[in-house]
Amino acid sequence: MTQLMVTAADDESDSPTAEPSGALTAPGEPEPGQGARDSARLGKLAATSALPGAPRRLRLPWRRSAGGVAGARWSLWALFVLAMAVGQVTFLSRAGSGFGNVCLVLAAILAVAHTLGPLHGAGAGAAAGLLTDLLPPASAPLGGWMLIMCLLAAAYGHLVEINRPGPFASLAAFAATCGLAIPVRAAVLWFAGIAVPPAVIARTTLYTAGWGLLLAPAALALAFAFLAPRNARPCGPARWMPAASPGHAASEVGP
Amino acid sequence: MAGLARTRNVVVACVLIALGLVVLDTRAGVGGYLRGPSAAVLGPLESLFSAPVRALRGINSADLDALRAENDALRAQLGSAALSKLSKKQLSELAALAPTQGYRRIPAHVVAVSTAADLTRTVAISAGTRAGVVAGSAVISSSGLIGVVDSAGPASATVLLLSDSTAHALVRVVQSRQLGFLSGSGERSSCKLVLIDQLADLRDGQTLVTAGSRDGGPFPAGLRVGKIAAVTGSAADLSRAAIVTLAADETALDAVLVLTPEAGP
Repeated sequence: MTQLMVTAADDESDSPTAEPSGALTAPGEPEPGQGARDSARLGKLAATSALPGAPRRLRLPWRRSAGGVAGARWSLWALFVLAMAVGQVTFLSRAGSGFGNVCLVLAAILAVAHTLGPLHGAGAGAAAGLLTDLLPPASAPLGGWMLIMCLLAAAYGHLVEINRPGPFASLAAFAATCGLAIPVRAAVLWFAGIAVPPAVIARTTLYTAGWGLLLAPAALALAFAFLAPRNARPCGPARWMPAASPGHAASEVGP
Repeated sequence: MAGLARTRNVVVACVLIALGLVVLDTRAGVGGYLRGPSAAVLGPLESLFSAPVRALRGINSADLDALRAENDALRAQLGSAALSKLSKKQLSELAALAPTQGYRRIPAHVVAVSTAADLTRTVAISAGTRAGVVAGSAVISSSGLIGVVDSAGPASATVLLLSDSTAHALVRVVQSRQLGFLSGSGERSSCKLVLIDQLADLRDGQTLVTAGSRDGGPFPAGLRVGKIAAVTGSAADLSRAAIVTLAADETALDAVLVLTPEAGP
């Protein structure tokens, strides 16, 4: 008897007719023609989504396999972050004191860290932070936002990767990280010799955390749609789908 | 484990670079070398993005011309209800402080405003060194003084608002003619005033103008700053201060004038 081990991730091929590329183990020597039969069986499994409750991902028509258009996707995401950064200072900050606390760039970077993990989050955070430091009318010390976004994205991505929080815990952690950026920012300014009144720090922290909570779902959904690789998804929003049963991730299929 | 080590290496490298930039910018001011080219690229982009905002608010070049006229009449605007009660002699003395000569007036639009999360209060304007803007120039709106040019790129400049926690100005109370130090509170359109003479008259509703300086910089004398909203502390223990509401609403800034000394700041 041959036992096949199918992982849940194998269900996620971009084309219903695509050959599953997941782990396929067959103890002992395969019988003649056994490989073709197994492939056909697995293809049927994939086509009919035979794994109930398996996490599904948002699919966009232009998505390709992981690595194929990674550069294009990152370029699109970089343009998106640039537009958010410019739109933030040209539109939102002028809309009123409440909207001035919206931190779109930080939300976008935390979404990257949530979707791809701390390594990508730290790199994207450093780049976006440098952009924020250079974007007029920035006047505070250069490198301040680079430091903050890199550290917070790495910490948040690590937290999500290790603890794998559920949806509500993820939102809470996202908002708390947004809020945490303000005291860290105040500390950086203090290091540069600029003292910010504590009342301003406290109020801005609360507002920014609140906006972070509101922005989190959209930011995560966008990051997942743009950046999530095909198979590797250690901490993506797909985890928010109904949890798979313990025996689901590694189903055993008989001959 | 290898992934964790790689992440740690990347984070440590980025943090070291960022800290290095912070230290270099704070101690040696290297940020100016990077901000100039970035402002040359990103400034026009911000102007492009802010065009719809200006269109929505109905601001155009005619408004800038109107602003010039308003600025010409700015000294007259100093004649608020309280000021008009002053004697002709006092008025003429104040008028003598107001800038009538020696300043180039460069019109510009506010194209970007710093976010609250930045914890600094700055705006970007659409005029830069090409138009003659230099760091240290005063910037006014039709309501009064708003700040000073902190840095200037080719096509845009960054203005440090009066409410920024690092901003300071020497001001004069119109009614009592007392001098005081105005410092930003870090909150929108709000500052703190401490009079040099702690026992001098200080009341709600009094009007503040810039006191100026011998060489006219950074702020020309006689520009309207704001009004005293509340007085705190006691003169007896020399802790008296005033909360000042600035004349210019910082979130409603559109057309501004940069006052550049003709002989340089």
